[in-house]
This record gives sequence, C-alpha cells and structure tokens, in this order.
Amino acid sequence: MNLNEAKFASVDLETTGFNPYKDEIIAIGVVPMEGLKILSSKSFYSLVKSKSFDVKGLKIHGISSKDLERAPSFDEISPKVYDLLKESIIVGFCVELDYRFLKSVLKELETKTIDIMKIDRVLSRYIGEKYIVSPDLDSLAKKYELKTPYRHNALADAFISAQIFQLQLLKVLKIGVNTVDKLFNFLNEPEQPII
Amino acid sequence: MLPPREFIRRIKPFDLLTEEELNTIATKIDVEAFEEGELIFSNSPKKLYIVFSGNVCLYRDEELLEEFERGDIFGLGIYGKSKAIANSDVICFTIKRDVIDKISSENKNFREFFEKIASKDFRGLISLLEGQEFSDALLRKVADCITKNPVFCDIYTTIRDAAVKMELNGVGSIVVVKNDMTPIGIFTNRDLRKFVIHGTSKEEKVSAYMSSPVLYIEFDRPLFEAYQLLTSKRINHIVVTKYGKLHGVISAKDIMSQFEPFTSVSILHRKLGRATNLEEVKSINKRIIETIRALAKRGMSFYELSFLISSFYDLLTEKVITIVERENQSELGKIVDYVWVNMGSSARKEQILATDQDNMIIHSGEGDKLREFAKIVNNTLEFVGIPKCSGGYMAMNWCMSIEEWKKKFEEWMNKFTPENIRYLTVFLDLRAIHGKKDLLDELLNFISNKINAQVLRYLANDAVMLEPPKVGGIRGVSEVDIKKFGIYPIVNCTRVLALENSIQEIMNTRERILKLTELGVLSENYSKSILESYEFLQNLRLRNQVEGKGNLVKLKEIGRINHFILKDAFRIVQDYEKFLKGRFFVESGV
Repeated sequence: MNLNEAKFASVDLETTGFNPYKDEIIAIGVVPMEGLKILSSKSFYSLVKSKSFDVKGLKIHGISSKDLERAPSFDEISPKVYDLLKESIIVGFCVELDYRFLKSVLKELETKTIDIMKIDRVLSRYIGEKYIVSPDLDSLAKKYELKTPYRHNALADAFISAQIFQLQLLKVLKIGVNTVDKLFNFLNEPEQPII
Repeated sequence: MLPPREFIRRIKPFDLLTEEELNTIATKIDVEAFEEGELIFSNSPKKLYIVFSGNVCLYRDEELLEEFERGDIFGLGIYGKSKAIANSDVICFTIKRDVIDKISSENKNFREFFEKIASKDFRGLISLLEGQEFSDALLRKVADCITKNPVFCDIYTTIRDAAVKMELNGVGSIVVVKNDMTPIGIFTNRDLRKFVIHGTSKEEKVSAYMSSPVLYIEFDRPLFEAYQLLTSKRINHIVVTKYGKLHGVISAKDIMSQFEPFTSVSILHRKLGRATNLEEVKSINKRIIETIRALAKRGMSFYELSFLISSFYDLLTEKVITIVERENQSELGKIVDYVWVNMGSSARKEQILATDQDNMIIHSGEGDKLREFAKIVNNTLEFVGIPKCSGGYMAMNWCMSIEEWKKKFEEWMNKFTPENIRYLTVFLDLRAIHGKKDLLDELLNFISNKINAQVLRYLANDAVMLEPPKVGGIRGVSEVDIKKFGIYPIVNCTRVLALENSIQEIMNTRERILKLTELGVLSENYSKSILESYEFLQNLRLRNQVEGKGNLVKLKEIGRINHFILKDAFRIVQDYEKFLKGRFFVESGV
C-alpha cells in the first residue's frame, strides 16, 4: 500500500508504571493520520479510571486523583479506541511498550507498529546524520524543530509524535520508500554498528 | 490542548479570537505535509492554510503571484482562483471552511478580516488589526504623553543637588520618592522660588520645601482626567504612577501639546493670512511644520494631511509673492502679467512632510524683470523654510512667455529624447498659485491639443519603466523605495491616462482616477483597488517619514500585516503597468 494512502494512528499513554501486566493505563491520546495528513479534528483523548490501583496521592503530569476517579473505565472507552486503531498502523515514541499495554486491555487488537525513535535511528544512519543520543521525545522534537509547549499530556505527546512521523515520512519518500512494505523493509534491515 | 493552538494564536487574524474560540479551532486543525513540487491546490481553495514550515508558491495563469513562508496564511477567502505549489517540503496547518464560517459567524472582527481582505479594504484592515484609527486626543492615555524618563531623588537630597539634577535633565520638577519608588512629594520650580525667599542654606533638604502629598495619576487613565486635575488644582506638574510606583511626570505643557495640533491648525492658518512681514511668515511656517508632524504622528491619513499641507503652502507661497511684490515695487517697476505655477506633487496636492520648491512662471511678454523677481521669490521661499529644488525646477530658471512655453512643449513633444521625456513628466502637472490663471489655461489647452498617440506611447513607456521588486518570500528584497516603485508608477500611469482622455483641469492622482472611472476608462473595481493601494503606499511612506526614515521602507520593521498588504499593493501596481503597456502597445517597442 502506498504511504500516502496508509492509515496511521499516533498513540501515547500515561501509565502507572512499566509493567503491562501489573500497571494500568490512566490516560490515552490518539491522533489519527491518513497518509501524511494529521487529522487533529479526529483525535481522541481520555483519562481512564483505574481498576485496582490506589490513585490517591498519585501525582502524574498534572492529572489529579479527583479527575481520575471521575474518568470512565477502559471498558467504557475500549470500543471507541479499538475503532480508531484496528485498521491503522500504530505510531509512537517507544511504541512497543504502549502497544503491550493496549494489548493487555484490547485482546483483539492486532496491528503493526512503528517507533519514531527507530525511524530516526535508521534514517539518520542512512543519510549519514548524527542521531540523537538522549532518547526522549523532547530531544527528538527539538531535532525536528518542533516546539513542545504542552509536553506530558497524552494527547499533546501523541500529536508531537505524529508531527515527527509526518516529517520522517517526507524524508523517507525522498529516498524512494513510498509504500508501507518498503518502509518496514527499510526499518528491518539489520542495524550495523557504526564503525 | 494541542500544540497548534500556541502557534496560530500569534498569527493574524487568529489573535483576534477569544481563548475559547482558539480552543475550538485548535481541535479542528489538520496538519498536512506536501513534498517539494507537490500541488497544494488548484482553482479555488476550500481550506485556509497556515504555513508551519517550508515555502509555498502561488501562481495565477502560470505567473508567480506570491510566496508564503512560516506564519503566512493563504487559501480560502484570501486568494481566489490560483494554484499553490510546494516550493520545498511543506507542512501546513489547515482549517476547513465550515470551521472558519462558524467562528466568523460568532466573532465580528474575525469575519471582518476576511471580508476586508476579499474587498481589498486595506485601510479598514489595518485599523482592524492595529487599532490605528485616528484617535481623539481626549481618549489618549496619560502614559502616551510622557516624553522623558522621570527625574527623582529621596527626601534627604539637598536643595542644591536637587536643583543640579533638574538643571542637568532640563526639567522643571523633581519627584521625591521613598526607597520603593512610591512618590511622596514633588519639588518644582515654584518650590524653588519658595526656597529662594525663605531658605537659608543650599544644604537644606528638599523635604522641607517639596509639595506633599503629591498629586498623582495612574498611567492608564485618560489624558483628559490629568487635564482636569491640573486645572482644578491649579498646578503645573502631575506625577504618573504605574501600579503605585513612579513612572513619569507630565506637565500642563505636555498635555496642551497633545490637544494643540487640532486647534492650532486653524489659528496658524489665520495668522498666516494676516502676516505682514517675512520674519513672521518664517516663524509661522516653523510652527506649521511642527503641527503637521504632530498630526502625522497622531495617525492622520495621507489624504487629510496632504490636503492640509497644500492649503497651507498655497497660502504661504501667495503670501511670500505679495510681500516680495510690495517690497520690490519701486525697484522692479511695472511688471507684465504673469502666473505663478506650482508643478509636481504640489500641483497634484500630494505633498507630505518633506517638500521642496517646484515652480515656474508663465508671462505675457517681456521676462527679464520677472526673472529677477522670481529669483527673489525663490530665495525668500527658501528663507521662510521651503528648500530649493535640487533639480533646479524653479521659476528663476523656468520663467518664459506663453509663446515660449508653447514652443518648449512643442519641442519636447516632437523629439523624444530621454531628457525631453523627463521634462514632460515634470511639467505636465501644473497648478496656478498666484496671478493670471488664464495664461496657464491657455498653455494647458495648447498641450491638450498637441497630445497625440506617439507622445502618449512615449510617456506610457516611461511610466512603466520601473517594476516593483519582489517583497515576499526567500528571494525578495529586504528594503524597498516605495515612492520610486509604488507611488511614482501609479502617479505617472494615471497622468498618461488623464492626458489620453483630455482631463486637463484635474491634477490630483486620486481625482484623476475617479474621473477616469467616471469616463469608463477604469472599471469601478479596478480603480478601487488602485486607489486602495495608492493610499496604503502613501500612508506607509508618511509613517516612515514621520519616523525620519524617508522613502526607504525596511520590510522587517513594518509588521507582518503591512508587509502582506504591501505585496498586494505592489501586485496592483504591476497590474496597472501591464494595463498601460497593453493600452499603448509599449511591449512592441517605442
């Protein structure tokens, strides 16, 4: 499929920890893309009420425990999330972990993923650029000359990731990578150590 | 909230939106990427585009119309039928029509922005975005009329030190403040008099003589409030505070000068009419120049101001001529009938701040004595403050009989050397100031009869010689002479059309364009856009001159919206030149 026609969804989650089997999602942001077009108007954001986790005293990125208590449970929003994601390639920053969290609550989800950090690494190596050393979204955004005024909100992070991915797509198109298959091949070439 | 919100909120017209409207719009923005060379839209755009990165070229009929870069908006409602192509990899924020329409229906200013762009109402656009309307002096804020930094001291300062400080700063008062800059008193020239009468030693402290408590007013209060305070308390100075801390001092004189230009215009005009000697005329002229500057600074528009200047300078010239006539009567004896004629911008009533002499004489016979007379008038005009023309286009050099003038014009119109064409552009705008106007009418009739297709073609060729440079995009210039590339082409093209259509009695460019529209030479819409551009360019030049920067406009300094309009105005100038080229077959060579 042509990259211009592919559907992507940039996703960012806030979680209580790093273990998909123990920890829980407490916020989700999804920004859909159609080819190179970011559809902010179709984006989705929600806080998620925890099942077992004691949110009292939990302080993450400006989310208050009160807000979390009032939020819907993941079961309530899962049909909507599933609809947004099921036919898309999930894109994100260090997306594997987020994908595992999503799989833990959306068993039927079966999509491909693309990590914008990985694209940056492969792309930088390909065109002989230095790739960023410090692996965080802020540094990556900075490299792509994007400002990040509302960082650490799941929706804003998903949006920034989408913007980075969009710029990366412009770059890979230039080197002849114009289909989804070619993109995955490009990303899966064995990484060689830099000599 | 999504990041685009922060980006667009600084971009006009989105800065006109409320926080709530911004939030609504931010959730509706899509982000589109275009590869270099990709078509963004052709025909009428259906969205509004805001360039986030990269460079976009807009074409109409294969001709490059415009370039856009980061922060520029284009598309829906701004440019109709055209084609936009990504000139590099481009990221645009896009907003669909229904979103724009919805916000427009709720926000009047936002709606007007698009309406005004569509109707090319530049003046309205600027006042909408910058609130640059000619504001009444009464509504000005106190802070606007503070001219100097405040001079202050503490209560332990000696009278001597305070007086020295006042003298060094050239002020009539010094504010006495506490450590935290809150004013507790003011020591003025009047208090200094009290000290001279009652004081014993210069080492005494200001606190003993200052006026306290001090009268103060917050910086954002209207000026008339300060005026009221001053008159009701019979004082000369008032302290201006900003959130309670010393911010400045204004005097009764400062306030009066804010109100003054309006009243002084009529007073000066009357004074000039009554003046009987040259010294008097000179001092009045000096005040006229100051007044005009003040009015220009205050935002008076080009049309209003040039009208005012013309009426002043006509009267001034006439005054000088009659005084010179009277003072030199015995020496010159009887002189023949003549008419004193102004040329160029003065003839067109389009002078602004920097204006010099452009004049000539048409007489009815023997000219030697008149030349002497003209020389005295030219020198006298210089003396009262109107500089001589550097090109020497002055009555002392251009004093001829009506028959000689006719011959001159015939010569110019028979042989199209570059020099003759220049003479024609200089001497075709003529207006009688003093004397026998019939002589000028006779000459104008003569010229009008001599105008033929060949002359028009040469003049048209000259008028379209200078094309405005590109002022947008990465390859655009950074500064531009707007008189040379914008105002002159409009003035010159209009003159050619006026000559073609035998409009000999009207010299003013705006009036000529209106007459040409009436005659059907220019369409209503077309003349409207030319007039808008002309007025915009003249106003921009006026603002530039007020700031002492002449005709050269630095694009970085004029703000995005002026830059945006300038691009459009230059395009209209170019269009106008094209119109002339086609009409007079200039392209095929002259």
